Amino acid sequence: MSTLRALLRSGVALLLMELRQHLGTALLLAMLTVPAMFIGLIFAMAQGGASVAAVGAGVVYYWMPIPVLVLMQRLVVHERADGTHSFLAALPPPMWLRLTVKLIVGLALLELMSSAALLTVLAIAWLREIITLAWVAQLVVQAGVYVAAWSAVTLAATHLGRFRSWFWLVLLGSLELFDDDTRWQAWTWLAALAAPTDAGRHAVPWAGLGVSAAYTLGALLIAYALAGWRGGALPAAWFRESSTRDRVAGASLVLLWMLIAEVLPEVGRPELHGWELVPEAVAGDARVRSFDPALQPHAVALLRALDHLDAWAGPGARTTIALTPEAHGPTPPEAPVRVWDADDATLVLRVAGPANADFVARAVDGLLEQRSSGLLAHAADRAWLRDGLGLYLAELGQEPILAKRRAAWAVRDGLDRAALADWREVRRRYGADVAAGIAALGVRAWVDEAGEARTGAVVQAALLTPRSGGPASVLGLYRSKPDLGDEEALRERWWQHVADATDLPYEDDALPEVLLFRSPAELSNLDLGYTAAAALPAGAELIARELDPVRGVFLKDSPVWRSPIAAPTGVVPTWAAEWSAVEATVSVWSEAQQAHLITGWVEVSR
Amino acid sequence: MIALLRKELEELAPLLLAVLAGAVVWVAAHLTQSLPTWSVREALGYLLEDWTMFACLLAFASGHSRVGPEFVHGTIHFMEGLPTSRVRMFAVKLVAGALPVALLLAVTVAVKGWALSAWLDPAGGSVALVTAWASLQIGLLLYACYGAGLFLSWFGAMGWAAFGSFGFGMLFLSVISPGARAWFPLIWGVVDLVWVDGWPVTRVGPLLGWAFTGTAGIGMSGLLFLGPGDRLVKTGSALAAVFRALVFAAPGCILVVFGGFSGLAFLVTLPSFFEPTFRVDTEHFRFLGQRAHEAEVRAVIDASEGYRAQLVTLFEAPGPQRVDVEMTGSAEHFAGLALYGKVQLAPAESPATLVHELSHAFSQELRHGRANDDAWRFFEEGLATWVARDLTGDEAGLPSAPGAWRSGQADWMLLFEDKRRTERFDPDQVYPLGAIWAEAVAEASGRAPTCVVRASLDLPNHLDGGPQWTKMLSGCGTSLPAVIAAYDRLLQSDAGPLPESHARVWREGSWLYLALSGDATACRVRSNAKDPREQYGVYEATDGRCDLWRGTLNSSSFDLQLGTVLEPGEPPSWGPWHTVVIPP
Repeated sequence: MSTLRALLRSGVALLLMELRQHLGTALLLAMLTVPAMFIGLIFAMAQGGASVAAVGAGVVYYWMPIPVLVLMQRLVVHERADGTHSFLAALPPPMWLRLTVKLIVGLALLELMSSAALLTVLAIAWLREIITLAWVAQLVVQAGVYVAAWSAVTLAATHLGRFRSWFWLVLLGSLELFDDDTRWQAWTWLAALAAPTDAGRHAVPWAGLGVSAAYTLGALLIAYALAGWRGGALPAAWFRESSTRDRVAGASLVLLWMLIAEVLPEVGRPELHGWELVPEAVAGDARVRSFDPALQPHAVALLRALDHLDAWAGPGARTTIALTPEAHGPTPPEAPVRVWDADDATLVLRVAGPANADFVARAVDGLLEQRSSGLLAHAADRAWLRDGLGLYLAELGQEPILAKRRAAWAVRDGLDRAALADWREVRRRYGADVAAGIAALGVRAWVDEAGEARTGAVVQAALLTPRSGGPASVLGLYRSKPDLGDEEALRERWWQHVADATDLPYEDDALPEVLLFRSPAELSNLDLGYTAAAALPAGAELIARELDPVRGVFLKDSPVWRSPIAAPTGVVPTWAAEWSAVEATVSVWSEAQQAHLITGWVEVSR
Repeated sequence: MIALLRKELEELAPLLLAVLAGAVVWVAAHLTQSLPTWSVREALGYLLEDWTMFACLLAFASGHSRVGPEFVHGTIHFMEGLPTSRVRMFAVKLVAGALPVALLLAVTVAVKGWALSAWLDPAGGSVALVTAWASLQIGLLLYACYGAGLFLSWFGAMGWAAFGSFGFGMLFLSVISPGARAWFPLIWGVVDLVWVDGWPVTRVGPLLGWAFTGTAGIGMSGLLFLGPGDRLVKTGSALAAVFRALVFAAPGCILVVFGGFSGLAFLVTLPSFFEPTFRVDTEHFRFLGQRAHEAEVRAVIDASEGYRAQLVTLFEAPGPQRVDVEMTGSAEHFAGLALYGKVQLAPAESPATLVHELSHAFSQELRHGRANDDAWRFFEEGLATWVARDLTGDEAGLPSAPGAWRSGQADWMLLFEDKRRTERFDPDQVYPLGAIWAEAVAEASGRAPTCVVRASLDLPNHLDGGPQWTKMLSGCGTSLPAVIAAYDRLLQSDAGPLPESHARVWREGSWLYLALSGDATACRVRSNAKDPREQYGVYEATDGRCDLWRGTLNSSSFDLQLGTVLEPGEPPSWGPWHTVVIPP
């Protein structure tokens, strides 16, 4: 009995001592809780204030960790820093009593603080929300458990001494790894208040309360174990002053971990999922899938080209292609087929046109871009191979009518043999569609010379090297370049194919020359002026696109503006800044060529 | 001297290793990307903020570990026994501490120079200029952090707290004054810049400020090292105490000031809290309404149980057994809102809005979070709109579905990708478009579209929109092509495409002016696609012009939507978002 009385007396004395030392800090933190509360309220009101009650829980959730960290650490660290810890350890009150008193003092002050803040906000909320006493009591308990969990974890972490700051930095830095997924909170000590506040109106969040309570108990056990093991030898060692080298090492490790935690989520890419649930377009062949049975002819045409590609690339480079119908709208679609989405395993295409060679060519083109993550369009020395392969495969085993028509159009428009050496310029002058026709004849010339087997090996090395599941990267560009043999001789044979194409019946769908210029506009976004030398064909449109300001090239995600034009001269507004680099052309769809014919991309300089 | 330098470098060895390890991580991250397809801005900006943050903290750590600790720990007295002067000691420390900083800068220049010049083709000489410009900016920033570290090392661990407090203060300043962001690029972006004729436009002020900070830090630390440093670190030093008080007082003061203004702003809204209210409980609802709108509230209460019963039939589910309905919301912000467990309506809303929100409550209760949000949101809102219209016949206040179709914004597949859709189009269009989709489901399946909600219960996790809808619609006894066909048929109209409106943008001082052409009568503005819907700014055009204050915009560009009223009395039909670069 007397022992108990002595313990009680010691406990009260310790309690008063702790209060005397820390009450001022607690009052200061309590005062700072008021502005924190107002900030929460004003943010909520700015968004309509749909749940003021949730602001009360929010203040506890977001603000209270700060007072907890300050006060609970202070309770332990203060006497270590002052050296009074050793003095107190020599006195009769046992370690567990001293720690319990600290816990009681800290917890009582913090619970008071959080309950006062919560109740104040709930009182305001009560004026215009349905707040029942039972729910108030439930929220107070939730907040209480939440604060207790934070307090216990902080108490345990504080016993790590000089390592405690690093512990917190590593812990909080690690949360970056879960940045996109908020469900992790339900498994941490935050669980008691992690669920939406109003969800608890009609059901008590027992699971969250249980998880937080378990963390509280676990953390308290660790705190008592650390403080009590061999008379507190561990904290005594950990609270010792560290050397400069130790401090530098700790800071370096923590910062490095924080960098890694930032970088890791950036490296991964989201994957498309579940496309195997979409029906096979052709029974028994899972390579092409489609929502719409009307796209089955497209799938049949595409599968022929895929057979060839797969024979070259091997089974490792297989992609599921999903064909989906294009949307209806008041204006015709931009292209007969376009890539909608792509990841390492899936390519989603939107289809608007018929199942012809042009469709297959464009679909294979999209597939090659997908398999190279878009790198090939920027690989100048092999871009023609990529550009021509789709149409080559689409017209394999038959007279390459489409390729020849497009090439013939280019020849009539001035293409000569020398131009083939500068593929980027050919693309700029004739556009991607006509360039694909010219390039397809190049691929044909090369296959004639090299034979199927060698062609396959080179195409695989150049375009289709499987990427072992990961995304294509700059590492992929270290792959061996395609050995095209004597390139000058190849170009000669290529030109022969192009020249032969002009024997086809002639169809006059030439575009007039168009002068493009910047329309003068002071301090404004850019207006483009144009003047055509002759009448423009029906369906002509002016296309302007922004160039990378330093590279001077158009990139896939850069802005593009299209405007139908009919008058021979006019001004078309764009959303580009007046000082930005822009190139433009006039384009028209040709049924005969199955291609967009252009007047040539021209950089419209200042 | 050499021995002293070796001692300094031994202490700094972990930091040098961290720089090298960080460089490996950074380079490896670059190697996994498709750099050649990127713009210079993307390649320069890739992980640059994370790296700069890392580099700045390491530069600070390097400075912070050099000078002050010798005095704090008393080791300066051992060093004084060496045959070298304090000036030389300080010089050695300065050089040793600068080594990791120089290494950090070298890594920055090498990695970004390599990323820009080796992979971006064609690059040309301007890439070297961009690299040099970025390096100068980051170099001066590191210099400032290093100088600050040297000076704050005199205050021990308090120095780190001061650095953190300063960061908090700058963050606060940047929030209230966007112009200050250029001074603090660690959070707001190192490469948020405007390119004019291929050249980056940058402000000289922050560069000079960082240079001054670094020089001042080194200078003051040197003076302390040579003179009164001993007295400063002595236990009980008045200056150290004042500094400590300042470190803690500064963030506290910011909090109090910010909180004070927030409190004053809240006081303005407080009278709305004192509107007299009344409570009514029914079998499944607890209502709270404003006395001033008692008639409208009573109309909602009277209709509530009847509509609930119809919803039970429509959803073929018992639904939530109890819902709190508060008709005290902000009409300025929303007509209605369904949170888990409660519905909040504007004070004078009609029963149709309650039915809309109750549809959400039933759906939430049934689904328990099943179905991918990105492919579901349009249907959640569309179904609620369809249900409200079906049960009450009320369909006022919605954006125009024909307007969306005529301006090319009604693509069915884009409905399955809400984030991508919101980047390009009006986020509210999913209400009418989703309702048409719900109607299309009803037409194609011959059943109420609520069958989709029940079908969602069988979904595997993490499906994309297309596969998800294929599976859900087969659960409804129909197919995706059938619903697409019905959706297109319901939307199609003979009216041709809407003429596109345009705006000329120019700036005069702190104001941006948007002169509208075409039929547009309003402008809607957001900083970028990540902004929540509530933060969009809407400006009615006066004399064909919208006026914007530059200070409301965070970065060097913003998103703009132009609104056209198609039918008098209807809300505007918003065109696609356009990114507008702010004239420098």
